[in-house]
Amino acid sequence: MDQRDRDLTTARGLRRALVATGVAGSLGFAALAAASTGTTGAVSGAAAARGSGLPARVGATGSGAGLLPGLTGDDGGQENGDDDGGGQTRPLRVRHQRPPAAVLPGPSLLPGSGPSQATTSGS
Amino acid sequence: MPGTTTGLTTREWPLWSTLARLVVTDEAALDSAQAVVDDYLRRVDDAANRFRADSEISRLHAGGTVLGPMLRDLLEQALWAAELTDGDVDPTVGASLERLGYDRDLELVLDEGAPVRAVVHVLPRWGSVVLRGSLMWCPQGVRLDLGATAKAVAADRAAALVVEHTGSGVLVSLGGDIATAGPAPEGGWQVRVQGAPDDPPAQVALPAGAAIATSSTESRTWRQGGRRLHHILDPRTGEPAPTFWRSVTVAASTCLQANAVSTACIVRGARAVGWVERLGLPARFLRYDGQVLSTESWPTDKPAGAPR
Repeated sequence: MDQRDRDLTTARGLRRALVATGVAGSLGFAALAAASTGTTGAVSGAAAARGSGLPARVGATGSGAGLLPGLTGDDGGQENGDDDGGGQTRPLRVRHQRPPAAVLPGPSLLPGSGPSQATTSGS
Repeated sequence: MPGTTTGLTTREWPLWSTLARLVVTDEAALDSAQAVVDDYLRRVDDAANRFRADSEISRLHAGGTVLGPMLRDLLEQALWAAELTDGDVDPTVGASLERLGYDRDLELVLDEGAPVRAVVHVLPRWGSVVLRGSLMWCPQGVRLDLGATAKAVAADRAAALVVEHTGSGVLVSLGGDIATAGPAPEGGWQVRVQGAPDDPPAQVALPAGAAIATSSTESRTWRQGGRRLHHILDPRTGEPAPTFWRSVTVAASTCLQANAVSTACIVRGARAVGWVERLGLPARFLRYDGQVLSTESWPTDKPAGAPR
């Protein structure tokens, strides 16, 4: 286990890693802390930073234990662990870094002829 | 097992409780191509084999959060497939598979396992997995299973690597998930379509670079508690998907796309045909009563050619 792995075994190390990789800024530490512990819904940045897991002030949209439907979570990415101020509830959103999944145009198949070179069977 | 077919050179070997097959258009490239494929598949296995305690994914399940490049790529592709299929193909079904007894290599799964106790629980879903760079978080207890997509991704990547290293046209089949790259033989890559040995076969010609995959409820099956189970789970129930289709075959520009869509079709049942038509992919559906349906872009079924 290298230093980075060791860091990630502690809340402080995890938070440092999140900040270093920019995750904290876009997803929010609270949501990620909740995700890593299976906490339902979102918790406030301050609560997560303290490791208390107290209920959220930001919009908790969780619908079941251990679930974070739709990648909930944005506490504003406050590095100092403060929440996003004002106790306002707002939708949680993840910023996608890539376009939505979509298939490319399908190939034009022709009827087969002659010996086959492979078989597509159930996998 | 090397062999030649109409000027092409092939090799086949056992892999992951199924068969891998390599076909090259340049006979002299076969050994180099096999070395490239072997090396890539070894790295896939090291990263994502959930039946190996020393694999990266097993270490991840034990509490890790940092992913190496291979596992990150495989997980990214699995999440892409989950998004494309609206969660019908979901990498978080690992715990459900284990609960159903598929917790080791299929050859070692008991023919008749003990009954499964009914347990009410909330299932994880793919949206609970957060992947950012080399870091991943997911709710405690989530067990990833990349089996639904890893073979397809591996076929795509391995085929591309063979072309890069040898320049030869290549077909890579991993348990029937087929990717091609580079120049195709004259008339295209001839692929037999047959989900299970008793199924009515067909044959199609793939153009260069195309891919094809079949998902079947008749393969990778086992029995537990008197029930016959298959490996394609409905992520919403954690149970094997209802057996509406016996098999579904889809062609696409990548094997990942073909595999993700064919697997999702098994889960979607009757709703699958309209969905695949909207995606514009050639597809063939085999029902349990033997009836064959296909999308408009699937060539008319003709009897398959001589068995390979």
